[in-house]
Amino acid sequence: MTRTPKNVRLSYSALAITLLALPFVLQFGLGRGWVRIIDLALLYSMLALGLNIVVGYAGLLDLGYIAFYAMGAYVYALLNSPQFGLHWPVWVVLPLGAACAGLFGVLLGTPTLRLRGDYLAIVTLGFGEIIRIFLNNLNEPINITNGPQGISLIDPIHIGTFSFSHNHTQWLPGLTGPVQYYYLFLAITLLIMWVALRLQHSRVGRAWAAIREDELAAAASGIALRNYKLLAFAMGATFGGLAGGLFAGFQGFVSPESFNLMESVMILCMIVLGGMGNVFGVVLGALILTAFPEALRMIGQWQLNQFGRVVVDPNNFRMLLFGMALVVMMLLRPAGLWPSRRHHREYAGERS
Amino acid sequence: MKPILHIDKVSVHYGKLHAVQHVSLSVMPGERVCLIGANGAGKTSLLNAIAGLLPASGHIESNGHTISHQPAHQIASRGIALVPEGRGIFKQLSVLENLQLGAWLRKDVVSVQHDINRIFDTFPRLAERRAQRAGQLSGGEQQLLAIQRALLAQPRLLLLDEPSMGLAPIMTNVIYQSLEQQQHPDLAILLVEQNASLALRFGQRGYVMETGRITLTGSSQNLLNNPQVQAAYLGHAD
Repeated sequence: MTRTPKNVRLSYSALAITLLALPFVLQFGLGRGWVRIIDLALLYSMLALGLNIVVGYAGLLDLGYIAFYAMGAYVYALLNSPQFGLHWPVWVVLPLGAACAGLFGVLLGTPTLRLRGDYLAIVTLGFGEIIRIFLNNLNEPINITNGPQGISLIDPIHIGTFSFSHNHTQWLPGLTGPVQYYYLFLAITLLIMWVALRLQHSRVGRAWAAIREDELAAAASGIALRNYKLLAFAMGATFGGLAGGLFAGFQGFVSPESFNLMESVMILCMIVLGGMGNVFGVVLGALILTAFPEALRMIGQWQLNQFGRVVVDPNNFRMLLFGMALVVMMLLRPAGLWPSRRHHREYAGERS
Repeated sequence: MKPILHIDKVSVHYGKLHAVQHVSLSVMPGERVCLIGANGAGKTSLLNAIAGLLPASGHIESNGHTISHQPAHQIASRGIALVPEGRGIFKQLSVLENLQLGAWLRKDVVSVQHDINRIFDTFPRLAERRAQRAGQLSGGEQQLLAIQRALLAQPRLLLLDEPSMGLAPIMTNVIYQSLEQQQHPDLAILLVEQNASLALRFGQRGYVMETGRITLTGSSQNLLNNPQVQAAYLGHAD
């Protein structure tokens, strides 16, 4: 198809209709569970987009990114649950969670400014674990986070009297909680994508690219390394915190368990698999890696039907397939499924 | 007239290794000064220390302003540009993006564009490859790009680290010609070179550096005629 303006408009309309119709199709075709999975995939897309700013744009390897997600989630949970009996409005709590995460992004960034590559990875990994362990133990002497039990009965995301968790099937058949969250998360994901794209092609984005390529040459060109690195940490963390708040409202329950190291690794894998540095690739990676494990659950059911018992635990099977997929990827498409132009050049070497 | 660069008893340490020891030198506006010496004499460390990329003790000032212990980007904003050893170009970025980054500190967008166009007019090879990644250029073209990128900042002092390194003689000539032809009469250049005869022919004055110290200084002519320099750096037999 040629890229005439008419065709472009046509494909955009087709994409928009697909995105709008998707939750209804999934709900009636595969069941409500699948709409929830897509909701989660959108949350992970936001996280991956945030981490992509730090890792993909600025080249700072952050292995503790999930901590910012946790922070956003706990800010929402503490201010919107029976834990303290607080029920603050969403439009205060979500930005507050994002801002808190952003602030911690700067706090993490400041002492690690001089570190690069694997050293930075180790420190950020430690930071992620510290936050999780804090959340786990802040139930004594004063009970703040409720420890490993987590916080439950969190208020759903609501605007005025409209709660995203309540079904509104009287308005429209099939307009269930997950479907409403889908539209909310889709809108926010698109907004974050737009911001990320704008950033990438801005002066700031160019400074990040220079820092990623050659830190010393960037500094010698007059780029203030400290400011731009901290900005990358802060922006990434802010998106993470926002996603965390949305997650808490969506799930209605948070516990430290949800924010372990494996989650940080998964988000990094989404970026690597999808295509580091490319906004669309990153979202693709997030969608695939969220949907993939869910699809594999069916293998357990299949074994049950076939052999009368589960021979291989689908969870183990998942890790096996996941590992294999990553190895194959690195061999066949080292720059990701949908690489950025720039990173593609990097991996293709002189042949491109 | 205040020197564009004046350094007083500057030392650089890597742990217990003293790469640069109590070095003092100065460069006047518009002057070309070269710093020659063998591999490992501390020349690169000294340049990097001036540019703020390495911590150093001692005092460094430019045009009367102290620049020692300042971060690199502030030193750059004082009009000091470095072409680092190994060129330091952004290999995955395009040729054009590299040049734009050279003009990072300039606010006059229109004349930056004008300057970039002039570079493309002068060096057609760079113009042809403006959209390609800079890593695909040959070594000499990368060096050209690195120098033009540094000049785009409109510096008053250019620190050049081994521009002839790893280049064929014909390319070295092109590089030095481009330096001769640059159109800023007030630009001072501090050139570090292993190729002493090349450097001394380019510079008006020179310093000789050995194991972290300045051992000789004088006009280029005097240094070229100095028997010690001839024996050690110019390959003349005694």
